[in-house]
Amino acid sequence: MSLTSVREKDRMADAAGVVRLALDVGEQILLSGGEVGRVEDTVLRICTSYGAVRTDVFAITSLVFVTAVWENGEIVTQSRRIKEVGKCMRRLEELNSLSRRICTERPTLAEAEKAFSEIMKRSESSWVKVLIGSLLAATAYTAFFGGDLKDCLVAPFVAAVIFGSQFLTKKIGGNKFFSQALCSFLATAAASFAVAMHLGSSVDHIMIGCIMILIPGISVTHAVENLIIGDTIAGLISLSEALVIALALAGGFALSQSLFGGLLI
Amino acid sequence: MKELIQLIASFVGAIGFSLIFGLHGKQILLAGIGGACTWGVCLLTDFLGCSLPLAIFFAAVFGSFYSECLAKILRVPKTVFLFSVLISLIPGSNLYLAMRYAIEVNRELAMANAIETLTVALAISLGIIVMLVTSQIQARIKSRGNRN
Repeated sequence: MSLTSVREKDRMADAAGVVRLALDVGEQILLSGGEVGRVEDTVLRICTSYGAVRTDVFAITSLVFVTAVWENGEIVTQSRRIKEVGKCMRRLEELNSLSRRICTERPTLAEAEKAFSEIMKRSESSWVKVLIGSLLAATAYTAFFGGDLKDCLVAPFVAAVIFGSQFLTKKIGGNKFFSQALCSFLATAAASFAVAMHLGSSVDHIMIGCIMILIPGISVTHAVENLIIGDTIAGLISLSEALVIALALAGGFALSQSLFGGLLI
Repeated sequence: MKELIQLIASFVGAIGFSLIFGLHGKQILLAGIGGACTWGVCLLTDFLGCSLPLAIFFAAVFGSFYSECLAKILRVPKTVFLFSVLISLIPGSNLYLAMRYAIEVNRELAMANAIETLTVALAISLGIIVMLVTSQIQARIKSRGNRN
């Protein structure tokens, strides 16, 4: 018996393992900010390259569902519930090249799993980078939307407040609506306070810059894109999630503004 | 002067967001350059007399084209650059003003800003879609060419 047919048999025997690997990769692509279409494509390709004769994948932003049919008639169905979708382009990039490698080189299942867990360890995003990014972005967009020099100097501090409260609410866990509202509440409070102390000149300009970090602008764009492409359910889900986040931001802002806005200025 | 500040700010802002989104190495600089160029296209088309949504649309087309080219060259998914590059087009100020006027019970201005936010979001998405469809068609033509 040739080596390839041994490997072929090995592959057939572990149909469930292949589907699990494909879902692991697909799940992580979704979690790091990949499109739904890419997830479906990746799962399909991995299953097919390991010998599935028919693979049906359905992915939305909160679920990946796959049924693979093998040549010997074995049918494997697995699904994953996806909770918090984030953005980590480095991980997305490495997973994408892993899936490409799996399809071209066809490593054994154990090898592929090892490579996968190495990527997961290697591409952990660092909070320092996110903090620096938030400070830069807030300052830049305060200047972008017409803030003066004083506003630009206050903006990084407000961004640090946002980052701190995001970090805190992530640690505690809990409700997404609540944590977004808290972020915008604290940020508005910090901005009003800074303006009241004559450190900044306009709450509006500072907040417009800082809110760029919080607003779901990317999700809305992404959602509309999904809707137009034809991933209707995924699009609708992310669109309504984005609306809820925007409402949360508005709620926190309104509360903070009516508590501190009139009081301090 | 205002335009110059905006260009610099969109460069720095795109770099900031590329850090938040977890890009690495030279990708960060490339995203910054893309962000500044995208806003440059928006300013240029605005200067040539396009309405704001149309200018945003052209800028989004340019931004997606830029990200797609880079993604092809560096062999990474298109999404890696796309959102950092397009971030300056996101209507943050309109969304904020809509919220603000809604709190002040100024319905007209709140609605006007909310509609502006949606229009711009739609313009950005359309820009992305146009590029996406173009590259799909291009890929299909290419693969058909190979088969023959």
